[in-house]
Amino acid sequence: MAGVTKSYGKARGVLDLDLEVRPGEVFGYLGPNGAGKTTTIRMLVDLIRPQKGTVEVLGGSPRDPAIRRKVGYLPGEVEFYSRMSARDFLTYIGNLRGKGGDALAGKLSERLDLDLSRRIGDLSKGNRQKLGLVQALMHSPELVVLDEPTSGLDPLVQQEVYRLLDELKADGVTVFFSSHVLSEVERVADRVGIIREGRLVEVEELEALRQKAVRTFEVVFEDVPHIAEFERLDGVRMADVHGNVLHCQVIGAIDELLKAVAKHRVRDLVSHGADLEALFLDYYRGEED
Amino acid sequence: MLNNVALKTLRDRRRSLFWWVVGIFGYLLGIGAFYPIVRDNQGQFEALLETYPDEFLAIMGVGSEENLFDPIGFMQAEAFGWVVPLVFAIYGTVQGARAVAGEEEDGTIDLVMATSLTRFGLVWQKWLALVLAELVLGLAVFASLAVDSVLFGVEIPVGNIAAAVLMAVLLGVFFGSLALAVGTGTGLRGLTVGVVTFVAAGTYLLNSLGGFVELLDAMQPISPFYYYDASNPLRHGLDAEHALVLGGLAVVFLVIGLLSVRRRDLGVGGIRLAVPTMRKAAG
Ligand SMILES: Nc1ncnc2c1ncn2[C@@H]1O[C@H](COP(=O)(O)OP(=O)(O)OP(=O)(O)O)[C@@H](O)[C@H]1O
Ligand SMILES: [Mg+2]
Repeated sequence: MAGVTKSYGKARGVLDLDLEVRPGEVFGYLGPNGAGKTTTIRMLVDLIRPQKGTVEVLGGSPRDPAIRRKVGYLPGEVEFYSRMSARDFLTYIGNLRGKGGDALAGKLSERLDLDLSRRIGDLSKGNRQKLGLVQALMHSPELVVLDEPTSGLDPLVQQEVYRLLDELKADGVTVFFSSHVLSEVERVADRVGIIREGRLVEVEELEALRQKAVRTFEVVFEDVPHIAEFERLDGVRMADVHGNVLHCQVIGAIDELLKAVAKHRVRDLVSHGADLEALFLDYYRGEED
Repeated sequence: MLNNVALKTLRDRRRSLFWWVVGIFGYLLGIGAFYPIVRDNQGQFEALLETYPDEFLAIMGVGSEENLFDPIGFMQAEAFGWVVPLVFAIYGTVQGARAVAGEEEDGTIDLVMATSLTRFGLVWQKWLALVLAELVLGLAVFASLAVDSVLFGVEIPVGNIAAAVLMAVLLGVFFGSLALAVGTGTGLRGLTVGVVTFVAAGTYLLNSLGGFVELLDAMQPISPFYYYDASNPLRHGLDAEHALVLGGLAVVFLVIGLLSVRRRDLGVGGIRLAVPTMRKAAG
């Protein structure tokens, strides 16, 4: 997507969005409510169209039916024909695509523990979400676009979905999914984009993002160190010494701190790993603080 | 029935269509059963009719020069003058409004349109389903009249029945296509039903009263109901020109629907109206 703007009258959808997802990667799209995730995703399947900019999908336009056939899409609030059976629905969607997938659909439903013979209206919300996943994946798409795929699913099924995404990735399928949940993005994504108020504020490898995250250290020494030994070190902030205990936060490289600490006899060291949560909350809140 | 949008839509409508068929079939059967009584007591009924104002009869689709006591005049007065065209028009309006706007409001449009189905294909197949459903209703009318003829001696030439049924179908398709165009252009089902019902009621009155109110007389030809039975197809057979007017305009509405959906955002409540409460009412 290049320079894409989509606004709804006064309400902004997304603004001047530039985003590229690489073939074969799993891209997590994070943002608070109303950030513009669903807006972005619905443009990828030509349900809505940008006022400005261009959307390119699999080397073509999403307006091209042949392109859409190679895409699997799960809407954020998926709706079905409640009177149809799940199996009939899959048949119908397969027919519209001109590309069935009954075998794969059967396998996927089994894995997700979804009963296809039920009337869709009688399925629980979670089971409807599973049906949405099955229809998005059953035709072996090259690109999968999922709007909050795990919402409404119980933790066991969520895990199964993560495994599915892992397998898709192993098969070379490109995955673009949105989420509110950091832990699931951490679990499955290679890269993340963070969107807030319609603007993309960050696109980063997950690894690099971890580097930016804050770690906290608590070190207990045999002797009493001096605060000045740590204060000025690269990446260290908020160092604080109480007696023989050092508390500090480090952003990025921890090498200098560890070397400084190693000059003393250390009784104990506790580190709280990269706190992405805090980092994301910063992004979420944006400029307000 | 799951092969394409047209068949799938018919499949979805099968239950409601069944009840519409039962309704119109039963009504015509009941009216037919009434015919022998009317025929055998012509004198009394004539005296009764004398007491009705002509305007009232006109609204019931009865021209003043009409013979009401032969099978054709009787059926025209009791069915083809008002119940039949209104049933076909209402059914068409409801189905036309549901066609695209309904799927948008239900949210099912997302999964359907994310397939390789084109917007063109969606609209035109929805239209096809509408035409087929109206034809089914037409067959029900036809079958009912056949039974009436056998059981109650309501004898009308088959060709004339066919002509009158065809006009009813065309009238239904006309309003259905209008609703499809409005619904496809706005994405708002409720608004569409409201607007098209208003148009239907207005043009119906315009046509009925046109024969009496001089001012409206010249305006009759803007009413679709005028083309539906001004030529009295039940008595005189098909008027090809009038049929072409209704059918042609239906196709024009289809084209408008096809064009209006090309640039729109789907499933976002369609055209935003300035009055926020209107949207709620329409939903
Ligand atoms: N059809 C619409 N009409 C008007 N405004 C809209 C419409 N759709 C979205 N918006 C606005 O665009 C912004 C982005 O909405 P979007 O649905 O893309 O957010 P989201 O990131 O998917 O949020 P959530 O996490 O709640 O699903 C919101 O401010 C929303 O109010
Ligand atoms: Mg959303």
